[in-house]
Amino acid sequence: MPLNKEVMNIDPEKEADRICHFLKEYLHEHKREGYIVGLSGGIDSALTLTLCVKALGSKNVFGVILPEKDSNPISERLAREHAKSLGIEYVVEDITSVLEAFGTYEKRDEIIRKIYPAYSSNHRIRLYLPENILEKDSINFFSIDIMEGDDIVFSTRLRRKDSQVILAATDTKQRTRMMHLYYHAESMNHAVCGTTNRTEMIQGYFVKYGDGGVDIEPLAHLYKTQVYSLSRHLGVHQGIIDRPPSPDTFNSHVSDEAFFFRMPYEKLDMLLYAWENDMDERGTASIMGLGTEQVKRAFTDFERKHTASRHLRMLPPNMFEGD
Amino acid sequence: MNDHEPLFMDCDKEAERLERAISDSVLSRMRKKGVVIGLSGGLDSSVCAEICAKALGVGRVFGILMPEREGKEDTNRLGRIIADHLGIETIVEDITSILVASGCYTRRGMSIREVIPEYEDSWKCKVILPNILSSDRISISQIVVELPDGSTVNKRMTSSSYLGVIAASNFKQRVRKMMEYHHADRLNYAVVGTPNRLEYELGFFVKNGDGAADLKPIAHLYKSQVYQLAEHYEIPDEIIKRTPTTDTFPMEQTQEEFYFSIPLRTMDLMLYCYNNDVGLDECSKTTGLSLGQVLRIYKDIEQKKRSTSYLHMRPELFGVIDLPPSREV
Repeated sequence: MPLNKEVMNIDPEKEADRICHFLKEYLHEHKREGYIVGLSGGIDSALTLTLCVKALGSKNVFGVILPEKDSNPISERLAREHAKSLGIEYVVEDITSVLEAFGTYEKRDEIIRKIYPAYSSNHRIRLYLPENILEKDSINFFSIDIMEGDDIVFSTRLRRKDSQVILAATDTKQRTRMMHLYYHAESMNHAVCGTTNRTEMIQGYFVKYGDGGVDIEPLAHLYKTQVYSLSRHLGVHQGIIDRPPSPDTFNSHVSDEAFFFRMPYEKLDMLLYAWENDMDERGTASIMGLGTEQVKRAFTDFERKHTASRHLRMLPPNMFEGD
Repeated sequence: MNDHEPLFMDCDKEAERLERAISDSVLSRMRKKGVVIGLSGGLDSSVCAEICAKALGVGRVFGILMPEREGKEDTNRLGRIIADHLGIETIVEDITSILVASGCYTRRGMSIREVIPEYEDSWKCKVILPNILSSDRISISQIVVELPDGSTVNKRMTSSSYLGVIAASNFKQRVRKMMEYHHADRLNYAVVGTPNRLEYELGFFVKNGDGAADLKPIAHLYKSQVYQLAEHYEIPDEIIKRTPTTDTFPMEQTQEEFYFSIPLRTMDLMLYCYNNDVGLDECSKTTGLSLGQVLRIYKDIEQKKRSTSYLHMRPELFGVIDLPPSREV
């Protein structure tokens, strides 16, 4: 099939039914009574929740909202509203104290103070990759903005080692959430439902044993644009649909696009589709109204991210011969 | 077939094979600079640390001791002994405050009170399974708590109480793993998982807890083979002689009591017989168990394998993510 806008089309009714069937089958096979869904206030977890409720009814789905002090307060509000509108039971557990005990903030701030000694609790921060890769070629290095109110007071490219340490600290946020989801799942004999979509799965935009540490991934075959169209069809909370997707990990807003993907979703998904299907760069460029160089840069970026994240999608190697 | 024969292993050969495979896996395939390993003071983590140190060099192995307020005292001491024995860099991270903040202890207390209302969070406790050799009843777990005056109370658990206690206790394994990954991510290292074959095959590990790792060097070795490797590497005696414990509950608790329900040595042979289709008669002769007991254990092995099969799975994806072979997900 040649590349065209229609490759992203799905039949929402049929798709929802298929996913519901899949969700039910897993529970049956593994003898679990329902699903735990971690609600971030973002579109992926909202759609996941809606699908779980559609599949099982509100009784067998339990929502867990896990904010911490850097989370955008809007996230919790939207997550609550969505959960209420579906009539499910949910809890809110603030994980700030767990992260403080772990040293998440302290370990992160230690590195930032090395870079910017005046850094204090009045500052907010955000990390991001270089701007749109379609416009300008560059490898993936992180930069940091240090903000006072809405003003950037300091901005610099991070050394690889430093961004590694900052992310090693902030990744504990996703892992702490995983622990709490499993606590509820295991005490209720539920399974933990993941929320990673295809655009994220292929490029490794999730934390190993964090948001990637779940029992089932019902959205992993859907591109982000398809997540949107299914969400609109199923009537997911409009406030969540309208909100720009964000990792919600840093206390100053950064979008998923700036933090990781480096291009807008409409282009990203089509290009990813073309790359996955080994389509040629010139043809792809002409259909999408881009230059061949731009497509090449996107493909190279996919290749790099896909290779770097291969271990995230694997089971750990071992020398076991039994299976 | 005598007691030792079937599980006897050529340690020189196996050690060499493992060391080469680990170096290959970590440095070439994963392109990591070394490994992080949580040291519990037990045999399995000690042997794994030893193999990795030999495979990668002591400078590429980072040990972490992770005591908490309910852990046994010698956990730390023995962990330190193996770290010093190997000469690897090792740090101590007390995880008590993280467990307090996660609600590990209080949530467990809540679930225990479902069957023992007077229980207080500061009392000692443990969960045990009845020995399967002496009874064929479905294994109903019991909770044992120790009162301040030293007396103990023993109660059968309800399913909800049992699930709650286990779910809360699992914070311990998951916090430890989170700590290991934090250091691994920071250093660009891989994380070592230390299950042996009994644990791996019979599903005695916590998903995304001690079951999570980038490599599992001894998952193919029966417990008695791990002992042989320990002798081969001259692991300090104190570590070899220690009874395998879960170190999860404040009361002394062996792995036998908590999960395997028969002595590990017997379970080792039984699993070997099971995996190699050894006839019931011969299995009974080798292990000294009656035919009835052998049958019960076979059933138990099957049941454990079945009920824990999901622990070995990646998250299920819906539909095939169809990529060219070089790009498979």
